Amino acid sequence: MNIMLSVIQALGVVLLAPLVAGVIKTAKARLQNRRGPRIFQLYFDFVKLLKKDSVVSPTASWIFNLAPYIYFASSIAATALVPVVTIGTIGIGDIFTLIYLLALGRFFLVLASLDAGSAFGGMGGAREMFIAILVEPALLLSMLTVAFRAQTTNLGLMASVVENSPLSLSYVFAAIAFFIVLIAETGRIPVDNPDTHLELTMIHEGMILEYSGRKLALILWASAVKQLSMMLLFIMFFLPDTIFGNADWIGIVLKVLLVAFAIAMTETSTNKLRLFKVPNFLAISCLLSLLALVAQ
Amino acid sequence: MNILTILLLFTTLLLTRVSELKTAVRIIAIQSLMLALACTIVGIETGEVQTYVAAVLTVIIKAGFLPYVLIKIVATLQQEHEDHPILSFNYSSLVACIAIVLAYGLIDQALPGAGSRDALATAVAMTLIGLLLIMTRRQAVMQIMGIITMENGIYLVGLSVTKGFPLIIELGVFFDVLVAVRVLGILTYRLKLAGLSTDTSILKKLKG
Repeated sequence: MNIMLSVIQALGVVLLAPLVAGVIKTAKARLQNRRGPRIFQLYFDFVKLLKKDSVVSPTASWIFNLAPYIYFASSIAATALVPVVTIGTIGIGDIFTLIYLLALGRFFLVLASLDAGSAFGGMGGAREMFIAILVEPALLLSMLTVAFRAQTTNLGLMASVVENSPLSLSYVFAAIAFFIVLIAETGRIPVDNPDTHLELTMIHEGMILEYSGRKLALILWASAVKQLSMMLLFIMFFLPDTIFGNADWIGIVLKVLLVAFAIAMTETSTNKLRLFKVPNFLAISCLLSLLALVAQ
Repeated sequence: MNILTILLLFTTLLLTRVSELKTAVRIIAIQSLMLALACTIVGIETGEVQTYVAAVLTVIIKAGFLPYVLIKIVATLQQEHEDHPILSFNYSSLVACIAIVLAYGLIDQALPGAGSRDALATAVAMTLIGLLLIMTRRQAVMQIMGIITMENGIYLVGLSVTKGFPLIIELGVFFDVLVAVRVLGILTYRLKLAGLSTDTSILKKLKG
């Protein structure tokens, strides 16, 4: 029964991820006094991309063909570990498993970007790894704060402990630190502009520049799934039911919308950092996580 | 009280990352304000009048008069930024984190099971980070920030260990800070008249 629920939950997240990405885009557009695309636009984009041919660079090898599938698979696997409604998804969810699954997907994507042989791919891949090196310790530290209190690194147990604990300063600091990491991991404005058309400023888009057709659809979907699972992690750990009372599904939907709106606000109100200032940004996250650990 | 100590630690860490002198002065003002709040809480616990007096004096001098004078001084300076300290901002905040861990380790070893462990460790960390600021910043105003941080740390130690110093010692601390700032004010005024900068690393030229 538990396994069934977990599967349904993971499927739900995978299917709803493009919708949440559309919500963020629309929120951003409305904040900038535009109308923006419709919130289901990403689904229509997928259908369009599935009908198109795939153009592959002649220097690409099997890595180029394989990477989108690995990225998609690792994103779905990471999503399945995140506890949303069912606490304790079969008990295999662990912080380190989550981080390494995300790192696996990112690794293959970077390899594929180098594989295609274009200059922008190499640049995007190098920058992505630069940011990833800094994001992973920050992510780990902010999650370790919660793990420290729960005395375990199992995601399900951590979520259930968080549900029963009061609001404290260490949680506020850890929440801010995790929000910074969320922005960096999903490639949002202070770190990377997801709407840019200039290859010199691309980080994530630079990696997937060479992809087209079905593989591009898979990669876009996987990015949306990764984004939603990170947002759900944020909600599970730092917006628990004790503070923001919920009514199961409705509560979670509202919280997701709240986080989406917060991301859109952050994107609209700041500008993209220079690449060599990104370590400073993530260092703030590390400092806050350390303070949160100390404050317990 | 614990929340206040963590916030104090936060402001001290922030101080290692700022490059604009005005921002640093404002952070010191907020830090002194929080210290005065902690002093008031201790005063409520012990009920002694002198703690309240010390808190009020802290607010007036360290969180009111001093930042005001310092911001005026900064406005007359040639250079309002700490451009390249001896230890870069990222590394200095890393060293500050190590100082925090060190402080907690020291307090746990020296006074295990102390009730005010957080406050004591924060105070030791603030002293160490103040020392770090003095050592690694070139601008004289940033070094004054380091001195004030160190004094705030010592003040916090006194608060948490003895539940309030005798008023005389606190007055001594205040007077010391006041004199330092007036001297700095006069010095920067003379330097400005002579058209020189307050970058202390150029004092090396005085060496034979």
